[in-house]
Amino acid sequence: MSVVKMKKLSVVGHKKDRRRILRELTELGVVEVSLASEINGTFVDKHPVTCETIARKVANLESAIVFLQESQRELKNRDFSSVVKNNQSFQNAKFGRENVVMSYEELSSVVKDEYELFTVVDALSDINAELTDIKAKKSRIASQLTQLELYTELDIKFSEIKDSKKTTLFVGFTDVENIDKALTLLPQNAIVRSKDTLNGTLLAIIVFKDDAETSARILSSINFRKCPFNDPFTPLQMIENIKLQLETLNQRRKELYLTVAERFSCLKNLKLLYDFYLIELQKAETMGKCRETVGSFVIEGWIPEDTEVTVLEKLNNLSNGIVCQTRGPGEDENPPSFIKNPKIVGAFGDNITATFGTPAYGGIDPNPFVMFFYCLFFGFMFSDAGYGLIMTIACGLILLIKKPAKRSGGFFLMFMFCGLSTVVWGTLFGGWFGLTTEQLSGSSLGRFLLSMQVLNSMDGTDILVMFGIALGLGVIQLATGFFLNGIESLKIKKYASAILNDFSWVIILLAGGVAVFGILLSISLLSSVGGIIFLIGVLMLLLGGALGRKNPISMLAGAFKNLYGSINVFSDILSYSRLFSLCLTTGIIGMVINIIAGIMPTLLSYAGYVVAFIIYAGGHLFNFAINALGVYVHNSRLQYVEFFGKFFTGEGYPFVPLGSKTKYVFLTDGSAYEQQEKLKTSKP
Amino acid sequence: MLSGTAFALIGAALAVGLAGIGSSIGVSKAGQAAAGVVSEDPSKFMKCLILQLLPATQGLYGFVIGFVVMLKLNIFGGSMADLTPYSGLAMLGACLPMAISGLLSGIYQGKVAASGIALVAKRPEENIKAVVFTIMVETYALLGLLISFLAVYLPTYA
Repeated sequence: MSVVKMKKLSVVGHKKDRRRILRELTELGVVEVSLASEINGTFVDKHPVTCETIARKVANLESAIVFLQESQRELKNRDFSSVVKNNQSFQNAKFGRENVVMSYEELSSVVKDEYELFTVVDALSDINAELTDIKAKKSRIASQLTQLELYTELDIKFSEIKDSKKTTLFVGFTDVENIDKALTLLPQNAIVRSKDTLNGTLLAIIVFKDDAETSARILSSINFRKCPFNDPFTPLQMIENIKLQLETLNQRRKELYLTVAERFSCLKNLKLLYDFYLIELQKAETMGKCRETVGSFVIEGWIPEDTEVTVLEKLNNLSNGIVCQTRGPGEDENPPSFIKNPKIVGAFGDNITATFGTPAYGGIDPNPFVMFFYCLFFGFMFSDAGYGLIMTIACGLILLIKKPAKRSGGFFLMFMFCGLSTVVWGTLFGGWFGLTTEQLSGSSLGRFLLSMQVLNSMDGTDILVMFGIALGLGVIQLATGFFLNGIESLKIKKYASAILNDFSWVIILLAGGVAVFGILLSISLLSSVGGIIFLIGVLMLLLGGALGRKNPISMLAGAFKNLYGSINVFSDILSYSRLFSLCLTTGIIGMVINIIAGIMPTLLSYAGYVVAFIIYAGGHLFNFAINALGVYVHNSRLQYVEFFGKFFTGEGYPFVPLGSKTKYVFLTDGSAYEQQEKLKTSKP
Repeated sequence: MLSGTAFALIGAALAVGLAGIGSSIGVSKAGQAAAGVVSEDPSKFMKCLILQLLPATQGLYGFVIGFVVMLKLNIFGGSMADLTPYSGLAMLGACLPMAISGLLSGIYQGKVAASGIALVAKRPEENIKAVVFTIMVETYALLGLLISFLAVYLPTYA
C-alpha cells in the first residue's frame, strides 16, 4: 500500500548477448530502462537502425487494423448483409482491447505467422489504395455527369462543334435568367439558337470571326460557360458510357469489400502482432539508451527493490559474460513511482488519483485515503439507497459477467463500492427512489426501511444536522490532508515546521470541531476543553509562521500570514457544503418525478398508468444519470482541490517497465512477480 | 386584499426561470463548441457531452427551489396556503440567491465548458482537468441553492 522502493540495476554484457538480455528483461517485466550514465570511451547509438524497421511494421499493422475498422461500417450496409451474415469472424470483430491476459511468451508465438500476416497487411493496403482510387474516379465521373446533363438537349456530337473558316461557333450554357437584353447586344448578323432547360439556358451562337472577341465579352457578362467537351459522341451517348463506367467501378468496389470481409479472420492475430511489435519497438528504443563500445554494452534501469534477487539470479544464469549490479537511488536521481495497492484501492487510484498526477517517489501514496473519502462522500451526495442498490447490482453484474481482465474493470469496481456507500447513507437518510415518508409508511416494507432512518431531509432540525455532518466530514478530510503533509515534512526532517504548521492545523480543526459540537449540544465540558485545545493550536500556528525568521517584524508578519491563511481553510470547509446541496437535489428531483407520475392516472384514467410508468422510469433514469455525473465530478473536485491541495502535488512519474505497454491484450505480470508470489506463498 | 402567495410564486418563477435561462445559454454555448469538435472527431462525443452537460445543473437547482416553494405553499396538498404580503415578499427574497447565481453562473460556466471542449479537442486525455475547471464555477450556484433552500424551507411563513 505504498510507493515501492526502487533500486538501480546496471548490466554489463557482450553485444552478442544483447538480444537475449533484452528478451529476459522484457519477460521479467520489472525493469524500466533509463539513460545510462556517461562512461569514458563509450558512445550512444541514438538512432538504432532496427528502430525504423520496427516502427514501419507497427505503422503498417496499425493502418491495416484501422482500414478493417473503416471497412466494417461499409460492410454493415444492406448490400453486403447476406454475405457477412454467416461470416463469424466479421460478426465478432472487435477493435478495442481484447479481454484476455497472456504471457509475453504466448504473445511472441504469433511471430511464426508473421509472413502470412504481413501478406495480408500488404494485400489490405493495396485494396485500400485501389478503393481510394475508385473513390476519386467516381467523384470525377459524377462531376462530369452533372456537366453532361446540362447538354442532353444537344443532339450532335461534341466533336462537331467547330468553327468554320469565317465564323466562330459558341456552344455553352448559362444559368442567368433574363438574358434577352444581353443577347440583343450581340452583332446584328449573329445567329442565336437558345433552348430553355431545367437548370438554365443552352445557347448556340454563330458570329463572324471579327466579332468573336466582342461577342465573347458580352457572353461572359451573362456567365456563359463554354461547353468543355469535344469527344466524338453525342451527350446522350456519353452519359450512357459514363453510367457503364460507374457500374463497373461499383462492381469492382463491391468485389474489393468482399475480399476485405474475408480478411476479418486475421484481425485478432493482427492485433497480437501489433502488440508484439510495439514491445519490440520499446526494446529497440532502449538500445538508444545504452552506452556501448565496439564489443560490449551497459544497460541501466530501475527495478522494484523486492524483485532484486529474482532479477539478478535470472540475469546471471543467462550467460557467464554478464555482470550485474544494483544500488539504491542516488541523491540527484529521480526514480519512477511504482504504486502497489490492493485491487480495490488501485481502482480509485487509476480512476481518480491518476488523472491528477502520480505520487512522487518516496512520497505518500494518497490512494487509500482517496478511496475512503471518495466512497464516503459519494454516498452522502447521491443519497438515494434505491439508486445506490441499482448502481451496486449493475456494476457487480458487469464485473461478474464480463470478468474484465487485470485492472480494466476498476471503473466498475469503484462505482460498486460507491453504490454500497450510497445504500448506507440512503438508508440513514430514508431516501428510497424519492418516496416520501408518508408513501413509505403505507407498506410494511416501507415501514421496515423507515425504521432504519436516522435523519429526515424534509425535517427542519435534521436538515441542519445533515448540513453540519457535511461540513464535519470536510473538517475530517482537511485534517487528514494537513496530517499527511506533516508526515511528509517529518520525512525530510523539518520537525518544527511539521508540528507548528501542519499538526497545528490538525489540532485546530479537530478541537474546533469538538468545541462547536459541544456548543451546539450545550455540553460545556466538550466546548471548554475543545476551545482550549483549539487556542493552543492557534498559538502553535502563530509560532509556525514566525519559524525560521530572525527579524522580529518579519516574525510578526509571518505569524500574521499564517493566520490569514486560515481564511482559505475556512472557505475550504464551506466548500463541503456541496455534499449537502447535491444530497438535496437527488432527493427532491426524485420526489417531483413521483408526484408528476402520481397525478397522471387521475388526469388520463387508464392511459394515465402507461404515461405514469414512462414518466417514472424515464424520470428516475434521468435523475440517476445527471446526479451520478454531478456527484462524480464534484467529488473529484473535493479530492483534487481541497484534499490534495494540502499535501499532494503529483510530481512523480509512473513506473513503466519494459514490455508493459500494449494496446490490444493484457500481459501477465512479468515472471519476476510470479516468482515473488511463489516465494511469498511458500514462506509462511 | 393583496395576497403574499403571489409574491412567493413569483419567487419560484424567478428561481426556475432565471436559472433555466442561465443553463440554456451555458449548455448551448458548450454545445456549439462540442458540435465543432465532434464533426472533426466523432470519437470525442462522450467527453464533449459530459462537459456540455455541466452547465445544465443550474436549471435543476432552480427547479428544486421552485418545487420547495410550491411544497411550502401546500400546492400539492390541495388548498394553497394564503400568505401575508410580508411573508410572500420574504419568500420571494429567499428565492433570489438561486435565481441570480443560477442565471449568471450558468452562462459563465458555459463559457468555461466551451473552452474545456477546445482543450479536449487538442488533448483528449486531459478531459478530467477540463471538467475540474468547469465545475469551479458551479460552486457558486451550489451556494445559492443552499441559501435559497435554507431560507425557503426552514422558516414558518404565515
